Amino acid sequence: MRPLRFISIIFFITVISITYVWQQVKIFEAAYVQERTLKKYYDILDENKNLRYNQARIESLTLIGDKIAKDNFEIPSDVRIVAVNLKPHQ
Amino acid sequence: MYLRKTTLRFKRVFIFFLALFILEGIYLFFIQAFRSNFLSNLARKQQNYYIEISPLRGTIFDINLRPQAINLPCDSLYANPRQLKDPKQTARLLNPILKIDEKNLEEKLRRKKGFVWLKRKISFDESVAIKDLNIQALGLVKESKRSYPNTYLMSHVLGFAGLDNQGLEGTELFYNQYLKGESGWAIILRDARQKQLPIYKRLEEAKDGLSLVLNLDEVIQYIAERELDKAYKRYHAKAASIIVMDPYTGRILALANRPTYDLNKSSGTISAMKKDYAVSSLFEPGSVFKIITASAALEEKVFSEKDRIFCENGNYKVGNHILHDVHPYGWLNFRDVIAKSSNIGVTKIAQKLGPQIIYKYAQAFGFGKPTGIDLPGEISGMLIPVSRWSKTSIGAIPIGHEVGVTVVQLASAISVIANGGFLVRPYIVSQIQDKEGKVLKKFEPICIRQVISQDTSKRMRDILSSVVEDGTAQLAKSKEAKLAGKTGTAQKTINGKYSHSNFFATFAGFAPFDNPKISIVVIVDDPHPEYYGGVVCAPVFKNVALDTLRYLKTQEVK
Repeated sequence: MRPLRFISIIFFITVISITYVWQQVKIFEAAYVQERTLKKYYDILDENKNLRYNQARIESLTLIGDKIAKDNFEIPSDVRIVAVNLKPHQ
Repeated sequence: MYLRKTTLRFKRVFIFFLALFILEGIYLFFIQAFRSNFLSNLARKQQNYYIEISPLRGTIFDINLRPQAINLPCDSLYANPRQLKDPKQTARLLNPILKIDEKNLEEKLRRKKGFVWLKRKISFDESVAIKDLNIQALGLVKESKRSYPNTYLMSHVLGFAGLDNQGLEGTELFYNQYLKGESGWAIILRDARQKQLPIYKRLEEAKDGLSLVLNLDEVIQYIAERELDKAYKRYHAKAASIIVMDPYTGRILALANRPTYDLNKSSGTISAMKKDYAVSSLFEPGSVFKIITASAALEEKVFSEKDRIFCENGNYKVGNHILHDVHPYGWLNFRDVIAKSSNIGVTKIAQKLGPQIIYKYAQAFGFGKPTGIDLPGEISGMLIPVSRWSKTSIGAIPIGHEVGVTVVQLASAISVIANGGFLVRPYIVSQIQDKEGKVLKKFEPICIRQVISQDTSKRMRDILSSVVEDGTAQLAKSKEAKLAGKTGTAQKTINGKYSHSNFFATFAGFAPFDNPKISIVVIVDDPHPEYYGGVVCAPVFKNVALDTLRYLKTQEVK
């Protein structure tokens, strides 16, 4: 075998191997980026779920109802006049 | 000479490299032929990682799609004891955060294992505190936790789910097959540091659970619980229950029990508080049961409203037992016998009808069999067949003794009077939806049978309105709406004998009396110092009925 051909084959194999490894490295790099993005996404999603839960909890009748029950609040009947203090729009 | 030497040296180098190449080739062949399975398995183990993907449990909504049970993200704490240097110190640090016994923690941390759960589904504050400790051998895993924004509201209807998102009580248990979803799995890649990467070699996605839409309305439920709670506390009762139902469809609009519990803290709650008295507790209904006797008498045309019955001035012998009325009466017409709840009058009506008719109507009204409500643990109640009646049974069963019923049976029975004579199956869940809100299954009302005619039902409604207008339930009288119902006060059985100081107070009614929109049953177990159904339960019925009617009016406007 001629030395030049031998070196060419070795070079060719090396280039293919490096391309393959480079491609794998890029896949892993992309995976790391995706992992970070996904983490942010899930953190925001979790935060959103927590906020929705807190909203539902704050709006809960068990919370509001128990507080207004102390003032003997009732749903007004047809014959009852309810005065509402409206503040001017600021 | 020089050239020959060079060629020889070149040949030697070439032969050396060739030999090296051949040796490498032989080694590679050896690896490929004999070690390939072992090495590829090793690589697969290092790179690939099997994970189970947990599905999200379905949400439970009320009829207006307000969430009642949802999933919240949370952390679970684990330890790798093999990496831990000082288990005792770690246990000491964790104890005030997790509030778990220090010795118990230390024992877990000393185990010769690579993974030990320390506490599943910890709170947000606990999670932050753990992260602040910055201990290498501790780790947090993301999980989801079942959370209930209304804390104790609908607790016995909703039930709760366990640590592994498995339904354990109430609708969470009954509809677990729909709520739980299906687990998925994936094979993902790991890097050299064993860090999991979102590169899926194989993926079978989890199917999230379906959502339930209940018939219950959060607002009506709150009204019912608020009023029940007042009576429960005011009369120092042992237990109490209320059901608000749509009499035409059987839709349960509210169902509550006392004592109750916070669904978010279900693990530390005693079982008595978790018991759904409305479906799994038996009680003697007392005078409320007179509705069945009266309906039978009218339906069989044995009596009419104006027929007069002599009530023996308060003492009447049945078998070897002397029956009493709370207030002695002489002659009363049929309507007043029910309005004033005369035990003797009703017994005389029952004696004229005979045991077979009473039994037939009690069965037709749904007593002695489960109603089929979609809640776990429903009992059938107790209705003794005529062959086993004693000589005194005719003076007991028609007035609501020697018979065991559940609150939900009573709600179905009073609905028969309210809706024109039909027994309908009470039900909790209205529909099943997927995540996008698409309806997959809709539960329709089920009419079991016609028990009494429209005419009898209308006449009974009139009679029951007189119970409120000038009978035993005058505390339920209102100018705003005309209400109807029947009171009941039954002695409790203590050690096999009827007690004179322990009672069940009951009220079963509907509103408004001429065009019923809701039927309500209230029962208070062992109230003190007052114990009459007309005193303890009638005001609860009135307040719930009026507030609910007002609320339903606002819903109609919408």
